[in-house]
Amino acid sequence: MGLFNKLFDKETDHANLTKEEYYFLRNISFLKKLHRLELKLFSKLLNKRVFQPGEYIFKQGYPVAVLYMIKEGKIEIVLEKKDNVVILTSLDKYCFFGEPALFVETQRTASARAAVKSTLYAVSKKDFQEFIATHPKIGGKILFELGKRLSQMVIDTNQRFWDAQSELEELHSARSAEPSDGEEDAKKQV
Amino acid sequence: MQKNKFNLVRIFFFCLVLSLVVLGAWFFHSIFTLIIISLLFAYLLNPLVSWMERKHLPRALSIIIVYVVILLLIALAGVSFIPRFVGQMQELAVGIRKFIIQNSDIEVVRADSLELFIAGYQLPEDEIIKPPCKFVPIFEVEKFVMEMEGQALIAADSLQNFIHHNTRIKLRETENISDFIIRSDLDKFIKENASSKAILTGVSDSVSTLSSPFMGRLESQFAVIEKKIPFVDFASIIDDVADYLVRSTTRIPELVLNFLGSFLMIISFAVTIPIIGFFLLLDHDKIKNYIIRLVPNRYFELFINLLEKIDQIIGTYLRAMMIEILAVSALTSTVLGLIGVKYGLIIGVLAGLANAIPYFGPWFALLAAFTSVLLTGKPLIMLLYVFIGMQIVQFIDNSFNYPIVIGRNTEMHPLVIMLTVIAGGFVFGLLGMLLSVPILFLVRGIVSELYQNLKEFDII
Repeated sequence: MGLFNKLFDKETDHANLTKEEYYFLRNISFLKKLHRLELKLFSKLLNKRVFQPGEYIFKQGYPVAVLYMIKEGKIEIVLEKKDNVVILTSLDKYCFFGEPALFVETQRTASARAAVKSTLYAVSKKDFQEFIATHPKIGGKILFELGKRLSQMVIDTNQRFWDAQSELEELHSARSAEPSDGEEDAKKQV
Repeated sequence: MQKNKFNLVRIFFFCLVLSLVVLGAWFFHSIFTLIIISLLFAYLLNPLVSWMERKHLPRALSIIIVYVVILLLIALAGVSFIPRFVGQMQELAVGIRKFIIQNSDIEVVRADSLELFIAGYQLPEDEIIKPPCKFVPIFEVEKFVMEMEGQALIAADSLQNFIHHNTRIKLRETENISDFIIRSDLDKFIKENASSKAILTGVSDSVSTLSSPFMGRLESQFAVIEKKIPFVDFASIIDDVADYLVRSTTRIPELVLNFLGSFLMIISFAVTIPIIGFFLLLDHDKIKNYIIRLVPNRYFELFINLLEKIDQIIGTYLRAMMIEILAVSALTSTVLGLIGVKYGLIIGVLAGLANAIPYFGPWFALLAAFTSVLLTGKPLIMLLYVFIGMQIVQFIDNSFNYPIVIGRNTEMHPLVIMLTVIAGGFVFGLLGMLLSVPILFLVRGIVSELYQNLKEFDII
């Protein structure tokens, strides 16, 4: 009877920005530069969703449409390969995920599911783009922070790539039997 | 976890809610159309309001500004465009009647006497072209319809007179009854509509002076025909015609009242739709959020995706279609006006509307223009000019507008479009013919998007 809960419960109603919500939004990394009024404007885009333990938020291969921020609970990002499920990472309060949804039209590269009962705030791509067009100044702040985060991710990934490659080279020199072929393969795989 | 409780109270509660929903649906069903039109209204204006909001105007103020601009445009159209349109309509109606009478089998009527006869029915032209204030056009339309119906009434009445004078045709019984019916109804009608009384009596005066020589001539011609062809039973033919006329004339008061009723409804619609639209526009994100809240988690992303895509399909189509109708109407009217075709404005508007039907619409408009040229007895070379002019309009439309409207959808087979137009005509009449193809396009676009998304989200 989820429909009835949603119809008559005050829990999912967020017409006004409560103090609790305000502190939550302040703690999201890409919103931290926004002041109270700007956060209030941004909060109009939010869709509150409550997920039960084990419930999937989205699955690998679905089209990307929405970015999620975690208000409460724990979300696991999992990679499903035929039979076995690999948990890539788990995200806690104030983390956000699915940000490619805001920039590109592609498919989800991994699945997300709730480990415990979780409350998430979702922002759709279209609302986000309209918000930036309507409030370019706030949009600039948000995009700058998101850009920072994405750049940091690229730097981290690069670092890990070089670390992995040097590790591989060490392994090769240790073996020294067939050096060139193995290196090429490793590069391709990464 | 929630437990499944199947006790009586629970079942009773859900039955109560269900019956409330049914009751609510029944309660609101009569204004269903109103709600749909208001939604469409708000939907069409939303981009404008959002655009103004983006210029840092409060949303409520943006809506009011958009409303004022639209009202001004309507007033402008009321002052300049509509009177001319109505004038052409009236001319067209008179022209068609003239054409029909001129080409009917009875050769009794000489053209000159007929023209005199029609001239008596015509309204003074300056009364229609130049309205004293901007709200007059609406009443002008009403008056025009009243005039037309008044004319029909008078025509029937004069035919009754003719039958009455013609002693050789024995119709006494039926005549008395029909006369009784028509008198009583007319009296009642006139009493009920005191304002229209003046018009009716005015027209009837002018007609009664004109019709007597005409009727006399008609009478003598009938006598000649009957002498030549003795076995034609004129009495029964006239009887049938009179019967038909009486039956249709007795319905006129009812028709007028119906018209007034629908007129009042249009007025009330014109007031309520902007008010409902105002609130829909003002709180559109709250309303959207509320609806999204009700969607289960499993379908949440699908729903958001679909909303976005369907909005894109319908919004692009409707806006492009509106621009196309306006552009083609204006272009066609201008071209026909330059060539000198009569009723160019009506044909232009017709061409704009018909353009919503791919492949066939333009030809329909061309046919209408040709008919106008032929009916008004213009030189035949004008047909060529009209053809070339309409082709130029089509070329402009096809190269600038068509790619936006239809570009996203793949082409449809002409046969499908033709069958859709015919079916639309059968089910909903002229309006169905115009709207069926756009609706088909939209439904197809939405269903294909729905299918694709349901597939992608692993639901089917």
